[in-house]
Amino acid sequence: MKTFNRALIILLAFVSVLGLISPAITLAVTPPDRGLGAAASYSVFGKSGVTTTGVTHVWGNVGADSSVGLIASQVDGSINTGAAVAGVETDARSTYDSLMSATQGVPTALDLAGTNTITPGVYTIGATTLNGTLTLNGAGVYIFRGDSTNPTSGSGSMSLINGADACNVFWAIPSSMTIGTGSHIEGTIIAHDGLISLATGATLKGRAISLISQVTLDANQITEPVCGTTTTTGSRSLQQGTINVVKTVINDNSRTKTVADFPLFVSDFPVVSGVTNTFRAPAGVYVITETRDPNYTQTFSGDCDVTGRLNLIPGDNKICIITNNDIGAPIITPPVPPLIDVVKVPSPLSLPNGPGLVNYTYTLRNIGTVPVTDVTMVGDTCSPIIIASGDLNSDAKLDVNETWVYKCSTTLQETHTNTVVATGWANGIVATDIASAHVVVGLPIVPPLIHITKVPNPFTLSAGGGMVTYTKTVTNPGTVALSNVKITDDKCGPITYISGDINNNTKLDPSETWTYTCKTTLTATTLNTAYATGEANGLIARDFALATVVVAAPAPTLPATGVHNNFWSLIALSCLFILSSASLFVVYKKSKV
Amino acid sequence: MFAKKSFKKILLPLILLLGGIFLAIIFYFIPIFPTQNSLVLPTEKVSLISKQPVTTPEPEIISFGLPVNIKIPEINVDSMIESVGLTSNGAMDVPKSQENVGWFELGTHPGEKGSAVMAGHYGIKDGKGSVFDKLYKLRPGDKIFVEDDKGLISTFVVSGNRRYDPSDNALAVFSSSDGKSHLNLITCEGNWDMDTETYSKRLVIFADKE
Repeated sequence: MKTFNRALIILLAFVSVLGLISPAITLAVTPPDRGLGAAASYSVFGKSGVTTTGVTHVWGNVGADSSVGLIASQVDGSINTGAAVAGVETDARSTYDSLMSATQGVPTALDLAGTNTITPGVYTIGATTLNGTLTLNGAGVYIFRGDSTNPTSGSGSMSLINGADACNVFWAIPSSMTIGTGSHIEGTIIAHDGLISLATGATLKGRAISLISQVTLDANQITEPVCGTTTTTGSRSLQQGTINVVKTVINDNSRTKTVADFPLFVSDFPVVSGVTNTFRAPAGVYVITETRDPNYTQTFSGDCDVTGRLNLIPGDNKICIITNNDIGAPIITPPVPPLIDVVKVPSPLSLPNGPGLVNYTYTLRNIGTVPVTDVTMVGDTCSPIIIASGDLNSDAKLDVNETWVYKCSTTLQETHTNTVVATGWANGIVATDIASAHVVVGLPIVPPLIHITKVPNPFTLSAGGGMVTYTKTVTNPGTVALSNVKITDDKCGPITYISGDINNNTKLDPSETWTYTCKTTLTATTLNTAYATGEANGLIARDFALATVVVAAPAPTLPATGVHNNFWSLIALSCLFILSSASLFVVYKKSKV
Repeated sequence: MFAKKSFKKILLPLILLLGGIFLAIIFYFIPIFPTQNSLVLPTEKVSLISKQPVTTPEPEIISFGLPVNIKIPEINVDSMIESVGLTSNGAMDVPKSQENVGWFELGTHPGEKGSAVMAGHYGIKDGKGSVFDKLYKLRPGDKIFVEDDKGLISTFVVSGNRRYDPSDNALAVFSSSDGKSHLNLITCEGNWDMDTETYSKRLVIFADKE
């Protein structure tokens, strides 16, 4: 992870074009990984053609591979076919893939029928029919995903309020979409396989893009969405930063919850673990919260304080780690926690001549002692992340000492910090590592890269705890030597430098490996976070290392195995006997008289 | 008159008969062991803890079945085994039934490396004895047979015993580091304490896998 110093933020802002201005948080979900690219200027694009009956009017460009059934007077922009539309389909397809990818957030099912008011988020709409009013309330990104069946709109309409903007509304439709007579729809519609069909008089504020099939129109009005019209000043990228909430779960006391059982929020906006989200900055204090489980403790680490709060200054890329550890049911033999390490190297590190292609290589290793299952890699702004090699025995487990290599390529338009969060499971415990890489676009600056790993010895301690030695290894995967290298740890100190600075120049050279150790006494299961920072060319590189050590709970006390007769039932029986014999005695006495 | 007279005649024997029945009931309930002289209802301890065992990575552990039956011929024990966890105050839980033995499922499986732990009740309630009433009679060399749900029988040989106070540190009962397989049986002993609703001592029989 790298952060700008303040002077560079301003400098780099001029090559950055990002951001939305709104009084609240600007983006509740990750924006599409790629812009619409060449498709952005098109209001209507049908790969196999565009047809119309009735008088349609389109503001913006209209394109198709071959035939467009609109005449110039119906189109404010230009009508393009053949070579002129090169790249439109490819770029729109890339956006479609991004809209459908998991990095956008966890989808919520939504039935479009009737009247609905929703906030920014990802929604699966299936084959539901929009026949009432759909209100989008609040600034942010709205993604609607169809399924394989055809979503249709009856006579429905959409209303965008409180900062919701058509340029941030997306419809990703696998098959085809029909917009009913007289309906009003907003947003960019991308249909993968089928038609986009606007019935008589329907209006669209947005785009209709069919990747394979046609767009059929009938007396429609299609206006292009204009983004950022509320912006009053330039340098918009100064007004946002990113927050990535990373969740770890430790089940060392027999419980079984996973990351997905703890919904996460940044100031009440739902977020997904490991996904980088863009937020307005400066904007007071952001509060990271989760849906708690009473059987789990909660601790914060990373860039947020112990109560989960953080301040975001423009250009910040902050990471907040929430750890949940289960309570109760101590087990005598502590489970061995997994430990993984990920390092990310972009190539090239800088694009001095402006936007261009960047290839990221992610190297994931198991540096623990147990095989790791359920490995996930969540990255921002680059997808898909594809495994290139490593699972030698094809068992889908990251075995001890196995190294998996992933790759991802993207075109960067501007200076960017890309973060990847790797997670895996073993023995009910999460292993997490975070890697960030900064690529400078448009300036002749090579950014620094730093990498830290941390291995505890031992991984488990018996009841009562004991001494743990953490060995920290710091390397430089970049190309420029790092000065002012600092290592800190939130739960262990002091950290002692052992060796590594071969040429004694106090700089961490790319060929060097610096080793540190730290000893501490643990009495309870602990996840600690180490941070390494180093500087070069006025930029700071940062990396995290997380490690869990499990301390067994004390042995249970011996069971209360005794049983005994019921005292009160005997008392009651005795009373009954005394009463009955007394009364019988009285009767006996009387009868004698 | 005749009816009244005959009533008078049977009244006294009736009282004596009722009294006799009552005394019989009382003596039936009163424990035969001299140490148990106070009468308090034991509280059923309900485990609040999830009984889902942690999945362990080593395949050898997964291959151990759930223990289902225990036989100790020396003291005529042939009982079903319940799986038990912990009580809310951190004690090992007890089997629901007086006749059953409870295996501590958060610990080691019988036959696995380490110390498997089982507990059984002691004492008389509702006229019934408990499974481990005679556990104290076990001597080194006596055998214990545990059958798992796959039909595999593990044999353990008694090596010794020890008395604990209820609050004693029982780490030596629940864990071992000699790399061998052990089975430790727990029950109660001593006097019944009305306040804590428990007996004053714990008896642990230690056994090693044959």
